[in-house]
Amino acid sequence: MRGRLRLAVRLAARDLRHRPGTGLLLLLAMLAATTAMTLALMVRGSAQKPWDYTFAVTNGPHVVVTSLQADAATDAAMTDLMSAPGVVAHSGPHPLLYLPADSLRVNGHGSDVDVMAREGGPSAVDRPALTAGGWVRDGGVVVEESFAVALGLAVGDQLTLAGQPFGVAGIAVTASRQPTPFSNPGLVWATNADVARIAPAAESLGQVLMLRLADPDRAPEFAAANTTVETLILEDWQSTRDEALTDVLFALFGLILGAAAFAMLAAATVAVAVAGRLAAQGRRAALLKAVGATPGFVGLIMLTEYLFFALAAGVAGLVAGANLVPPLARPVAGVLGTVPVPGPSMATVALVLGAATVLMGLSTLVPTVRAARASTVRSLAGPARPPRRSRLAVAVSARLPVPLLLGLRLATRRPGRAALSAVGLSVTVAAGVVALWMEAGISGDTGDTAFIYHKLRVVTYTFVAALVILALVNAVLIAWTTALDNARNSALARALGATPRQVTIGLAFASLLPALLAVAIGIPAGFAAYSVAAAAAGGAEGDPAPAVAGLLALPLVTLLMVAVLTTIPSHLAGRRPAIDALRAD
Amino acid sequence: MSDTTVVAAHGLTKTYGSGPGLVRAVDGVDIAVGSGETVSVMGPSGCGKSTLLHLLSGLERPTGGEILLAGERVEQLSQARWSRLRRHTIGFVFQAFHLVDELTAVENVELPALLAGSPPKRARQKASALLERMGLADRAAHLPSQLSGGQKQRVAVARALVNDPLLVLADEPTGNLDSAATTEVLRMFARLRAQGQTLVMVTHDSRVAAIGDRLMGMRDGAIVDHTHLGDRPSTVDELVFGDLS
Repeated sequence: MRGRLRLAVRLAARDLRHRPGTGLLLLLAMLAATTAMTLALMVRGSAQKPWDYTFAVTNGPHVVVTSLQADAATDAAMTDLMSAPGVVAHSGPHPLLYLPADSLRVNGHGSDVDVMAREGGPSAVDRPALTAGGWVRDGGVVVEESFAVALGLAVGDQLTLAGQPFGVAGIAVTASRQPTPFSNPGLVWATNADVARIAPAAESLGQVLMLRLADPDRAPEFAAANTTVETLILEDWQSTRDEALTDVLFALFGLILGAAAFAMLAAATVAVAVAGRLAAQGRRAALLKAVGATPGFVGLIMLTEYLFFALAAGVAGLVAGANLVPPLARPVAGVLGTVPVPGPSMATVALVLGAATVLMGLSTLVPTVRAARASTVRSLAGPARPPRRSRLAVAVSARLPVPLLLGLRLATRRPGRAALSAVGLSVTVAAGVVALWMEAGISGDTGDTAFIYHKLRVVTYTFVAALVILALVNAVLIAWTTALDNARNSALARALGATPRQVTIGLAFASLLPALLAVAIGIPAGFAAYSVAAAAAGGAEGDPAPAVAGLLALPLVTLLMVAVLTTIPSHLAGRRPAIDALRAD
Repeated sequence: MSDTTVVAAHGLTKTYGSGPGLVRAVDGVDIAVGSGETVSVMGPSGCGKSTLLHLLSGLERPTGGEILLAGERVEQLSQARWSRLRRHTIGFVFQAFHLVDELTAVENVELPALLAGSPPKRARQKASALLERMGLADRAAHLPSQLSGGQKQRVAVARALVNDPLLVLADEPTGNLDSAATTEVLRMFARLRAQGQTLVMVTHDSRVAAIGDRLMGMRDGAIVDHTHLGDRPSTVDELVFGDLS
């Protein structure tokens, strides 16, 4: 048994080396699918990790209570909250200065800022973690990290607060409020004395109280139940986290859509690549059987080879996906982002490898069994699957110019392959429509929150670019398979009087027909996908429609690229001496 | 033999490989076929007779020598020019039939006419008429898989004739047929000869070769015999069943 297995592995390895081109394309298509799946599975969890880590290290508050002004009723309500049921620890109240606009000035530029008085030893709740320098001292402030990044501040720099000069003593992170630019004004910590020094310039003086709860999950209910005074604002830690991760969550939306589209296209490409390889392997299987291999052993060799593809692509996809996660998952700043994003969990590994094996198994099992069981003599004599006859296509094509006659007949010989090609391209066209619509929706938003779309844009366009590449690989693969499959008919057409150019155009036209269908399906499918996704994300009403120029350019560019790229294998096939193909038959 | 030469070749050569591996598939062949003449080329397998037909039809480019088709030098024509020439001037019959699997008999026959730009209706009429001539009117709507070997070859011959070519080249036309089918095809070629169709047939079957006006023997790429066939059996049945071996 071990000897047979070793022989099967050796023969599979030989076949891999014998057909490296299609093997590489198959591996790339599978890799695309497994990478997309890894990303989709890992980003959501990984996005929260730096924030969760920051929250843990700083002993972040479950509820932040902020007063907008200092008066007796507000102070009393705040004092009551310190001992409210469910509160297990608190820090503060800390004085908070609301300074007028542009009160913080660096190099002549003004920014909005709140100044919180914090000094002494670490507090029980919300202990800002220094990422550079030291803690506050008289004349030295600590700047919240995302705010410092936005202002380009480093330890030792000088700034003014309400006209008073200060040095930057340190830079720190906190989980008690959203980082800049989600939070505006930015945050600076100072000593009590310094706060008192600049307090006269403040618009108002409030206080901040940080609370830890016995049941953190019930923080939203606690905040809602204890909002008893209008001048007190209670914010739970879940809202703070979700707002801090808004851009990542937006990107996740694009990522999930993109991953789904990518997986569909990759599956179509895998099916095409496998069909092409199996067509070529039919004769090899027959040869092996002719020299004594059993159908079971032939099937074992072929399945070994495809299992290798599935596992290799699965492992490579996990590695690639895990490496792409950190830049996508990292919030803009203001968290301890140096925390390493852990590798994929066992569940993710199992899911990705399992899905790769199942996808490959579904694409290969039936044709493998068919090839293993097919008649040896018939497989040695010629192609396994007879072509499909379309009476309508034959009748219609007779009225067309020669290249279109050849092209239409070629396209309808293998309707399954044409359908796979159309599906693959339509997914790409649909993704293009989604990207155009998304762009139309967010490009008009130039306000303070426009930055939250940055990651969504990066993700969407990365996916669209990857989809385009994969779809074009798919188109070339299909054109190549079509050219190979039709080598005899093309050669015969030339022997009967068709010129090489007519045959080349015919082969390219056979690829363009599914592309035309893909455009016709892809554009409405893109509109539908965007509507469904936008509705799931809160509604697309009021989103501007995509630009007409873009919608017109999309199908034209798609058709042009397919035409240009599929001409290459078609041209190569058209140049091969006709008699070679006829002789080989 | 007519005075008008349809196809001629002088010093025609085709080699493959180089150095010690050089193979002379066709080695300095001279041949001339007059209008309405039937020439048989006979020789053992691998002697270069199929390659000779491929050269004469432009399916392969010669290494040396010249080819004249209807008085015009053609050996250096581009593939595209050869394709256009084949549409109207040459009909080719392959040993393996080479019918398009998904096309019916009549659709196979009309294909070269469509490639040559004939209107579909005229192409279909011509194809149907030819199939009738070949005795296959009742098989016109059948796919190749539904035809016997002899019927397939007759369809292939009808296809070769659909554009009224000056010259029909037949490569081992009975090579893939059993004896009953061989008889069918021999009868058809005899009729073509009688109708004045210019024909060059390569074969290793003496019964097929006997149809010709002339018989050329080929060995190792060269023509080694050249015989005018004078007293020949008058009917195909005598050809097929007579003692000709």
